[in-house]
Amino acid sequence: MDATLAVSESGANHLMQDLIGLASIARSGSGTWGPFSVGYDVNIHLAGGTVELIDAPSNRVRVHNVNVLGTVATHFTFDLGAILPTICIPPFQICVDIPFIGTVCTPQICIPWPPPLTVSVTLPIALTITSLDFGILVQSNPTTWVVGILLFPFSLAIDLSPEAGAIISAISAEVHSILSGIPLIGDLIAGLVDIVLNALTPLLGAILSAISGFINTVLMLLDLFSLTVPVPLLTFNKIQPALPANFPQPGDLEVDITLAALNANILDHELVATADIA
Amino acid sequence: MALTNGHDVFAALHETGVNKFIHNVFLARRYYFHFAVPPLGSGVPGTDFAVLPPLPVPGTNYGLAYSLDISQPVIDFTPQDATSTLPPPLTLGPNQFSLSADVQICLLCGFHIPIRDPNPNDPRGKEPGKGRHPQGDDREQQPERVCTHLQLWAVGHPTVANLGATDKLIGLEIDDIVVKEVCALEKIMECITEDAVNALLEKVRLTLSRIALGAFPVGLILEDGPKIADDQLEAWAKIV
Repeated sequence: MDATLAVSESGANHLMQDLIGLASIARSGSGTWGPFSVGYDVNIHLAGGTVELIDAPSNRVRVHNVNVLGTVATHFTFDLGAILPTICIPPFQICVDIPFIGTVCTPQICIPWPPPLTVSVTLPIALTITSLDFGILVQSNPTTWVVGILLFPFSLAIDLSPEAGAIISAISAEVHSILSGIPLIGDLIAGLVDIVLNALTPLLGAILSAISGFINTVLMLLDLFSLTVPVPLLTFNKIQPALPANFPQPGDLEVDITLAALNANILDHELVATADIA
Repeated sequence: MALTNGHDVFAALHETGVNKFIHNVFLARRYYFHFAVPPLGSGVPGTDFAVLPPLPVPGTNYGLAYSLDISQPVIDFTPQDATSTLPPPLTLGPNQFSLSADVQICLLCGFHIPIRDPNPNDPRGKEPGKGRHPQGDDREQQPERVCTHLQLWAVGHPTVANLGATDKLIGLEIDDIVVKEVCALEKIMECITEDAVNALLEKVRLTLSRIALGAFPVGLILEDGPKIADDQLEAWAKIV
């Protein structure tokens, strides 16, 4: 070989941090569970991680402790009228038909429920992937040689169920606040809130599970987590100008270093690329 | 054994790679290797050969056309190749390279090129701007191209020059040279050729980022080297 380039674990960590720093994504989704329509805006990015280079024949780049950080802003929209019973005071109305006058009823006021309300709750996303393994491969593109890394399949368990309490609290508070503005139902508010929560609670597991699955899907859209498209770790132009054209004098031809072949392996915990120059 | 030795990056150019690069320079920048006073010189002046001023002939107001052609130098990084013909007293030590090349020097004898008289007040009175035969007659002399071949060998060390915070210019410089077949002129020829070869080597320096094959576009901070060992020019750097 005519040229050798070796990158240590610290150097590879530097390169990997550049890739991790670029790994961010935002996506939105929604679904309906019973009377609840839920929208969710996911923003996630990666941070941290340390690189371990595992020698050939494994030739693996292992990244330990990559943090997945971000938020999912959830928006629960529901119509109280679809959840709460109709409440009238008094509950029953007595009507009588009076000749020559018509039907006459006792007074009754039915509570008009407010229009559909939306409760927003922002949930944190914070988990650590303890180990990610990437294989290395060399690609010959038309103008470049690329030493890329390709992720081996891994499992990721995102569990938002601990956030159920925050959702319940937020919805409870909001419903309580809304109902408090309605006259004549003061004694009923606690029970009405419970009705809403009773409608929500059986659905919350499915809702959070769906959001977790969505986050998982979104994460897999990150280039770094692609299982089919390698991510460039080192890129080499096949033709590298060593002496520029027209310098030092006009008309000077460019003198290039042309990389005719390139190989990469991990040896002694270093990523070693060797090149043949044409 | 790890190559990076505690640094982010190790970059090395093997002597085969350097010689291929010099070959490319030799083909693309002919005027780095060929020098001549027209009408000597082959091809386009300034492109195929660097134009030299005539060689003044003492006692005349003319100069002679001459040319100097350096063959493609061959670089050998320590340890010395088995095929090396490095002559004594040169030896290839640690962190050194050797260079060998052939040099052809030609003179167009009898072809007089008028030159400006550097002594215009000389009472012997030469006419400025005209060629004059030393014997004072105007007979036509048929110019004759006479040439001699020399072999030179040199040893030297790697150099580094600043090129900003995130790159360096890495090159080679010779320290000692031997020119054979020149007898009593040896010291004079060695003086001239050492300067000429170092001027050539200065033109073919490479940046640290290029030695690292351009893989770090943001830049590299040189932390150790350049050093020559194991038939390679080596450098260690930190990724910016």
